[in-house]
Amino acid sequence: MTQALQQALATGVLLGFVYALVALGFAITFGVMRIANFAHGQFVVAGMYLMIVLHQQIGMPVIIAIPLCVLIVAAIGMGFEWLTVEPIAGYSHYMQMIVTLGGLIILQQISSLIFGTAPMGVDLTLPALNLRIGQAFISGPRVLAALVSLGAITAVLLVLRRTFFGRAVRSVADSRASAQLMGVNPLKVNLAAFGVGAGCAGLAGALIVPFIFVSPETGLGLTVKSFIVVMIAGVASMPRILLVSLSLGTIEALSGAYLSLSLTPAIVYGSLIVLLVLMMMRQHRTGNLVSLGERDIA
Amino acid sequence: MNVEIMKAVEPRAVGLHKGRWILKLALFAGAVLLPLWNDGAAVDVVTLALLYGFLAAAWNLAGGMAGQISLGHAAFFGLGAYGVGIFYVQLGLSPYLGVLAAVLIACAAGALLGALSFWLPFSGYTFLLLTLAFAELLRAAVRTFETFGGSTGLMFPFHPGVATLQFRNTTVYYFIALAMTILAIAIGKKMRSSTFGLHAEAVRDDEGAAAALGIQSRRVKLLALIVSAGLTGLGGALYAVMFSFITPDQVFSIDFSVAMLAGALIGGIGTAWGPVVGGIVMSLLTQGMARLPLGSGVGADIAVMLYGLALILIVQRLPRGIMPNLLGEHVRGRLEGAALLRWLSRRQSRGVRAPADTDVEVRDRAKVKGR
Repeated sequence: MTQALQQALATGVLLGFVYALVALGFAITFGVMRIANFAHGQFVVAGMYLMIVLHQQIGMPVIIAIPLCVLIVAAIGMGFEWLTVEPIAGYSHYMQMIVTLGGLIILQQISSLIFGTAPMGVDLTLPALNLRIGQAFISGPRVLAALVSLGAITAVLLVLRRTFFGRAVRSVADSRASAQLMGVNPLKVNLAAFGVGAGCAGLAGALIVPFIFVSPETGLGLTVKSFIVVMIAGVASMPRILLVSLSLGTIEALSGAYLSLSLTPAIVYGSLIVLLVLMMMRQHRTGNLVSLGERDIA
Repeated sequence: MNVEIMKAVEPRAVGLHKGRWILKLALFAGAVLLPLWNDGAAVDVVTLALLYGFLAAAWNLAGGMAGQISLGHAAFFGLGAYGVGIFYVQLGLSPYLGVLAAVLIACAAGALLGALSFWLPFSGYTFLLLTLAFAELLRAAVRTFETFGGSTGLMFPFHPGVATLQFRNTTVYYFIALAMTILAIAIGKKMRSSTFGLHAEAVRDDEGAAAALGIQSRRVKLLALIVSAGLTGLGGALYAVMFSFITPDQVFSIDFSVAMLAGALIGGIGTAWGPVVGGIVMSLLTQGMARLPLGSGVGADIAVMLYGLALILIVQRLPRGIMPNLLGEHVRGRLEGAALLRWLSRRQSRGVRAPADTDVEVRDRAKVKGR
């Protein structure tokens, strides 16, 4: 393996873990409420901008800035749900999705008004975490991003599986009506799902901003990517989400290294569309049609 | 139920009150006479607004009438714009050929996407996602290839004349846009009263039931999408000739897809007049906002934000849109349950009686009860 290939594979796989975290956040909202939250990518962007403000501009240490980002973005997510989706709970999923699309546009323009449209980033080096795998050199922030993402995914899954709160969320994802009959308040669960989903997104954003530039338009692409990942993998299986996310990161890194950087989005969307179509054809053949929301999350 | 009976039972598509032809005549006269009153900036603003109205109506054919909500109509729009661009700028052919090619290319793209998503077992979400990803894919692809002008876009050399479809006097574009808008309304009205349109609405409301009645739902959806894509491509072609400059980030931008969706929703999804009205209103509003002296880019940002705000407010407060609520254009089919009940009870409490030729209350209430 050449050095370039090793480098691309290593960065791609590590980035894949972050994508998996974003997709998990998307899948939680999608699984619980059956609505595609278009603002999800913009929550990632919110995390990125917050990290810029907290770490770069105010000078907070990373270890405080990142959790703060998560909390603030989770709060933004819950406020978002309360303002947009909650008033029309019970409407068709399309209508709820359109409302989140409107929210995406508003959040996007707010970031554009505050930060302008020029790409921004954070200067962060973590020499202690710099990693050398074979001939590939991985910078500290990328390692940190992958490790923390993996930890966060595990934590979210544990909460969903082991705690009462997690069981309530899963029961609503499983069957809203039955959960309601058992005394679970679905509106509260909706709010919580948005909070957790946005928290995952905010964490991912805070983690990737040291090596990925952010601009207000970044959000939509991230929403589309996590949406496609969840459509391919289904909300029911974290291993599958992880697998698809890792492939996504790898495809992106390989295309960036060997083809052209500007062609990369086309390659990524193209391969995701092909994967989606293949997946649907397979499901058609096996008769196992709807993978979404058939069982509980994770 | 066979279509003849459905037609007999259904009220006429537009349930505006008596004298509505006077209103339409006045609207038409006003539209034709506008350039006499102001030959400059106002005409350009209204031209763009008409284009947005036209686009929303084109989107509505697939999204509103056949229920195939797309977020990727910018793909068809951009293909239309680039169709003309490639034919005229790169190949040096007549722009009329370019417009024809633009429409055909957009139709072909619509057919491809439709065939892919309606013949595979995709859910509605997948269609939406597929269209969105398709638009983003095209945008990235066009940016990359220098044949298409790359990310800097295509500049149309300016040779005014009928043969090149370029005019010093922008009033010509105004009348083209007006004609296209009238065409879109006519197609919409035809859709609502034709067998094909009824089939489309039946598929939208309950695909299984429609299929059980012998309606070939896939073909209906595909045809609706192709017509919608072709018209959107025509809109893109007009945009390209009118501005003589197109970039991939502009014409394939999701902003256009959202503008089409928003226009249709605000005006009244599934109606003939609604999307045109909604598209025009939103465009006038945002153009006005972008011109406010608020500092560089602030007005434009707020203008885009208006689209987001409008989407949220219209879905929350008036899910049926302006036209059905304010002007009484009747919407067939499944409505949002809660909103309908509210609307019905408001009407009942005001003691408003339905006009003799509609039975909207009775049927819709029965439908709500049955659900």
